[in-house]
Amino acid sequence: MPMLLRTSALAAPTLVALAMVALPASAHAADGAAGKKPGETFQDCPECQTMVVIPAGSFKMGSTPEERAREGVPASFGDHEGPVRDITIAKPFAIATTETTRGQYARFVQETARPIPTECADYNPENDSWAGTPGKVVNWQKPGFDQTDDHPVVCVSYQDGVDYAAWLSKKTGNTYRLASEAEWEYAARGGTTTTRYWGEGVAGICNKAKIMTTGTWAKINNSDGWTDELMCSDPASYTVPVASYDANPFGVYDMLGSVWEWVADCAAEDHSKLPADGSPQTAANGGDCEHRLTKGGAFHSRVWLARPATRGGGQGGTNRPVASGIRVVREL
Amino acid sequence: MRRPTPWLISGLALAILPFTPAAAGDDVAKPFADCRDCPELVTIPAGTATLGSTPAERAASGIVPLFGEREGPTYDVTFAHSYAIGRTEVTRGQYRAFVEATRRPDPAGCGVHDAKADTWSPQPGYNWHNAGFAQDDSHPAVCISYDDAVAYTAWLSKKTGKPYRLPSDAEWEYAARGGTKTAWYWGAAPEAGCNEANLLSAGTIEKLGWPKSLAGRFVCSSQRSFTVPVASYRPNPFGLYDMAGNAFEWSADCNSKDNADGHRDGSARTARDAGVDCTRHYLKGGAFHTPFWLTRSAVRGAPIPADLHMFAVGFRVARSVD
Repeated sequence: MPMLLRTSALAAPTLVALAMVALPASAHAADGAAGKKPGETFQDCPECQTMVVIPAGSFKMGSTPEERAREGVPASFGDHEGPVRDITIAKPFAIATTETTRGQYARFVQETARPIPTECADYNPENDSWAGTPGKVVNWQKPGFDQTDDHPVVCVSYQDGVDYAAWLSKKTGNTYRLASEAEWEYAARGGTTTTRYWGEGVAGICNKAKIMTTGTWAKINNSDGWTDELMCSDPASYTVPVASYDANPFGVYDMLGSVWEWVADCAAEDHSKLPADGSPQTAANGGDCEHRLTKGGAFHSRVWLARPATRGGGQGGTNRPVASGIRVVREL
Repeated sequence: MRRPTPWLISGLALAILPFTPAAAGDDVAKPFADCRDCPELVTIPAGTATLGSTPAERAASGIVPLFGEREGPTYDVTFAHSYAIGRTEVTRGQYRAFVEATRRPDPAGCGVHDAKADTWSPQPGYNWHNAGFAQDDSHPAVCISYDDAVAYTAWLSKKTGKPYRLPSDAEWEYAARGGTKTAWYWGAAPEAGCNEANLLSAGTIEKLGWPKSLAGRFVCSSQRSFTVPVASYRPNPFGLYDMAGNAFEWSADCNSKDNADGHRDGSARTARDAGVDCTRHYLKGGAFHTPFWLTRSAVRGAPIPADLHMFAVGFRVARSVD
């Protein structure tokens, strides 16, 4: 079954653990980029996330009309994925190998005495919307489905992600933040130029990413928004433990499916004004900073949504959608 | 941009795809039938096409090597003449008329799914009128052997005076493609298939008891199961129904290793061909329980003994036209 933990030569959990043991004990001190090579994993503190070093490089960001036609991407999404832009990321950076887990987020909440929210935009079968259920207490602790501490945290906002990264920065003396959309997509592509890191075609995606499954479908099948949809034959319903599927060529897990991941960018209609240096879209270049973007698709996504080029539409920076989580990067 | 666009608001929701049925084009030939109860036929225009699949298509579809190697190499076929092919799979009602007219005995059994062993071997008591799941006379006839299908075409020929036969692999595939070059006649991606054809559905998997052999595969969300009435989905560009999914369909060709020996004139491989096995024939089009990659136009199903009955296997007829 897909949720069995698979090992990969690059970042098998045991190897990661051994690498941690081998790290020098200066865990709480900022260490800059010294000695970190692409593909190397590290942790800045025991409760910090495992990070992997992503090499500097160039890539083509966004999707072509051909990719969108091949994948059946509707214009309502696809029109926002172009034009394809040449992006150069001049310096290596580190990205969390996994989405922030519920356990990691709980530690942040506990240490910062952060209030527990009462609202999350969950699925409301009454009106077949994902805008939440008035009067119902839903939050990252109680998202409406079963999770353990090794599942990705959900029901978090862009602002929650920013604050979580700031907490990690303060704790470690290093600069943690949300990834720019460009950094995120670059890491998701893993140095490949195809639609997904394994090539063209969606074959095998059911064993590579947690997207809409028959299990998820069974829980929300009263949604009128679906006619007859392609999905994966799998009883797993909502989220699964992080790193349940293979890592991509950069050693990063769950970039496709699982949960949508907030990026640092201000919302923008398309990539036409995106900076070419991998930095985020800001108000200065036409971004709408009242709304933020997400990447990667989620556990209930259609197959075509789970692509590196996919852009989840903007939400207010304090909105907490049920299928949105956090992935941090660290500057080197 | 200070106001969220509809895209911005709906981005995290399950976007709704409009379903816009596209009728077959006006240039599609009008169907006809040679007798009141005969299967309806559509005339397929003469022409040239490339059949079989490329390694790239097979890689994208995730086909297993055993199957995929049969589909290559691609080969060019030229049909000098038009021909007619069944607009739909032969229905259970149409097959029933043949059985009653010829007093054809029931087969000894049919290969149905054994949920315990997760196998599909022949079991006694199953046949075209008891395939192990609910069917009415508008569903495709299944549990049909190659020999049954040939006997049906012989009966139709005698009844109508027209030269009925099974379609060759090339005739079948040329008709299924309907001028398209993509893996399926609806495109290169399986995505749209759930609304285009009766492909593996959650309902079928549930009724089969979630066999391990189907875990981690693509399925359609529908609760429908097994076969559906023929022509339940919209037709392909040539006006043909169910050229992917629903029931597997016999090709006339004797089994061969791959498409290297495919006939350039679109005719079937016969005993006159070197290196073929005419005790076995193979299937086209995939069925309601098959992996998605088995429903592409180019697929050549496993070679099956001519007298074997399988629960997802039916056929459609073809005949030459003047």
